[in-house]
Amino acid sequence: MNINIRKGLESAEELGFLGEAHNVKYDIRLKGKINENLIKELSKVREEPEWMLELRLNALKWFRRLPTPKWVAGIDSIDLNELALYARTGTKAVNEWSQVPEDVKKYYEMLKIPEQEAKVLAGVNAVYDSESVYSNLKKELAEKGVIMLPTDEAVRKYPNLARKYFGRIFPPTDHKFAALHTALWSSGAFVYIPPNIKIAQPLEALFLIGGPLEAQFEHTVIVADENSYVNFIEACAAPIYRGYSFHDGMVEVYAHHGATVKFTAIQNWSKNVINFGNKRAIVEEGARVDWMAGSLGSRISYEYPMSILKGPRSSSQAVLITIANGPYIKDGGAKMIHVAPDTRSRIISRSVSANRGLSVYRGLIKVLKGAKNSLAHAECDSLILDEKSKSFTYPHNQVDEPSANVTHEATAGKLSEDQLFYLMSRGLSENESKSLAVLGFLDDIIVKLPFEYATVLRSVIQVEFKRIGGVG
Amino acid sequence: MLTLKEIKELIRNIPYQEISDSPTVKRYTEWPYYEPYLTTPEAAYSENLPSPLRRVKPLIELRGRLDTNIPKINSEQLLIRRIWNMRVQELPEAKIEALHTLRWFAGAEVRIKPDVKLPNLIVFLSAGGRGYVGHQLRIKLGERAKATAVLLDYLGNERGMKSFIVEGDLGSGSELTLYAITIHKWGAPSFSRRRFTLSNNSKLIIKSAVGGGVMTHERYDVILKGEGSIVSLIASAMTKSGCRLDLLTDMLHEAPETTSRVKVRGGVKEDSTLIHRGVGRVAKEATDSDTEIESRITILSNSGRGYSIPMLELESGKVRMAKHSASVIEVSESTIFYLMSRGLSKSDIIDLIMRGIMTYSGALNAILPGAIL
Repeated sequence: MNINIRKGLESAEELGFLGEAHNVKYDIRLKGKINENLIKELSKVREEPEWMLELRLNALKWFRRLPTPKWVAGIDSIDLNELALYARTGTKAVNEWSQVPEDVKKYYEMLKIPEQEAKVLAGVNAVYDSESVYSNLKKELAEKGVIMLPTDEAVRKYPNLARKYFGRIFPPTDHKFAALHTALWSSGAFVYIPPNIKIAQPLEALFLIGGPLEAQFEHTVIVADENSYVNFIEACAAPIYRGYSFHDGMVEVYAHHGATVKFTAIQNWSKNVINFGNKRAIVEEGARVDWMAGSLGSRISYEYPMSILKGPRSSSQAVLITIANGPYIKDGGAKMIHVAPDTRSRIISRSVSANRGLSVYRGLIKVLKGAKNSLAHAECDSLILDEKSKSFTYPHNQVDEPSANVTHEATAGKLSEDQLFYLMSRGLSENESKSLAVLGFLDDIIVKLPFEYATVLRSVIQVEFKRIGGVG
Repeated sequence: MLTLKEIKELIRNIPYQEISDSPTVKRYTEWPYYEPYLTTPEAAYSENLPSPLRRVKPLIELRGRLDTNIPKINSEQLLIRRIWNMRVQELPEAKIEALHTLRWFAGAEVRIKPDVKLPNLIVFLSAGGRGYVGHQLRIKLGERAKATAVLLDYLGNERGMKSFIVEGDLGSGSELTLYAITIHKWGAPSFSRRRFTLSNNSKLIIKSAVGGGVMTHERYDVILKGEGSIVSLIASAMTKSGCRLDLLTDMLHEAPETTSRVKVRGGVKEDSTLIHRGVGRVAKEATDSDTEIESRITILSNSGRGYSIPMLELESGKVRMAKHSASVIEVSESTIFYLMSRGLSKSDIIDLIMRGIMTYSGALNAILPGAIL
């Protein structure tokens, strides 16, 4: 079976061409100073309940109060006043592909969404700028009580459920951009899996930024009730524009007793998007949350998925692939907080920097007092392909519980002369050898990804490194 | 001469050092410990040393204002002289370092002349006392000189605060072996910074044993400025009841073909905290360099805490090798079972493991055989 979900994403150039042809008509486009009036207007056009407006206004207060984080480079280049903070295409989300407006549809068809949904996906939620344009879930899953809706619709339709989880896992008080996100969030996916339901096929959310100088604040909530299983895939893309765009998304995952959530994210924003990802999970007794993240695109990207291992015997794994190919900054890592006894966590990170790219690994393993017999392991390896590229590693291992075992390993290096010589003596050019070595460096973790994603990732990497070599 | 009030005013707006690389951690050194002592009067006399240290005969004794003893020597081999705080430098950006710049009162300079190979150990002592103690030491090695030195840093139970800065400058082809022993108790927080600059093909070997006090901040900055320079730092670190030790090892590669190796072994006893932060930074110009940090912390009690943060910053892709590894672990059940089945009690086992950790670097064995911190 040759599945290629994201064929369209392989070539930024192709999407760039589309970007020039962009002429989607907006119904509403909010921009300007972020204040109470703007928030009220936003909440009003989205017909939100009172409690959501309160939550937004409270988050706005925190946004003003919290300092801009010092540890992020390049954040100064964002001018929120010049960005469109909310943009709507004039249609409500539909569940029939034929009803999606033509101009929006062509973007998604480029990405082969309808075709792939029929083949492998159990449900799709597609977000264009600030609103869902298409949301569909297989009928048999809906009958079992599975919910997958645009988040704003879920807020209206299931107020109790939404209120119970929204903003509880990642509160707006956490940092400035979490507060900004909560104040301005729009759309995203809300997924609820009832107890004992195991969904074999993945669910997918797809986020697309349709225009330059746009900010996207999608909010995804995944609730896996007791002993359920879900594999959720998030894909992000944006065509190439002259201006920059800003993405400040949030994902909240709640894994109840014995549940398993696999969250796969392939971030392939175009090279003028500044991406701020806020991802956090609460993992209850015996539950498991796996993060798999491929960070390929965007100009500057900050993303640190976090798992709070709250229940005994809960576990979490984060597998991260980061590619900084070009003068871009990729600041990523993972955070594991061990709260309960017998918890397990593992972080595997591989980063490649090339062509003046900078990749930063920033990780945290924290074992709190009382998390007896917990085990945590982190390994972060980086490969630097040329003299002008950089790689930084900042792992924080903090252990307050003596019966815990925390280990960390990291290596960084260039391609060895021996490897290159060996490959070249077998007839490959220098560039081909380099590309092959990159794939080899990443391969042992690519095989851990779901099959269809491993295939996609591999081909995206091949395209990404076409500029320096010629793999594939 | 500035008054204490003026000094306080000068440093008022300088912030304490904070972590800027992490979204979750603000600081590892507990700076509030230092706050009550910023304007504490200077110590006139130093504390009495414990008996094993009294056996050591130091060449330079940095103590209180009245009992500091720095001989004046200018021989063919070396030059030793007292230095004075001129207080004209620009203030550093961190509060305690700025305070030190304004307040240190006992300082010495040691120069080892070119091509001299000193046969004997030079011993430096820096002892704390009741009140503020500020010491400054400069060590300069001429070209191709070779020396072995011992740096004893003692702080007992007297209330106060200590700041101590060591500056080392190694000329081309020179070699310095430094046994750095820090013994701190519960009396005072301390701030200690050791900055070494290495010229072409010079070599610095540091063997360190650190017993942390109520709040010990000990930082090594080694700047590998010369091509082919090498630094090796092996440290044994220990904390016990009520202590907090923040050990920093920063290796900054600025020239090609430089090498740094850092190995830290730590033991945490009783209710205490041990932090090791290590940085291996390879600058753009430092091609074909080699950096390695290894950090192992063993927690030996139910209320101990161990933090290990080995960091790499590679600004050049042309690096020979860069790696780090860290672990924070407890002593395995099987080790305890094995030792107990040979008749040792649990506390004997902890002592035994602690002794193993403390003798790992070799600093204690060389100077004070059999001494336990």
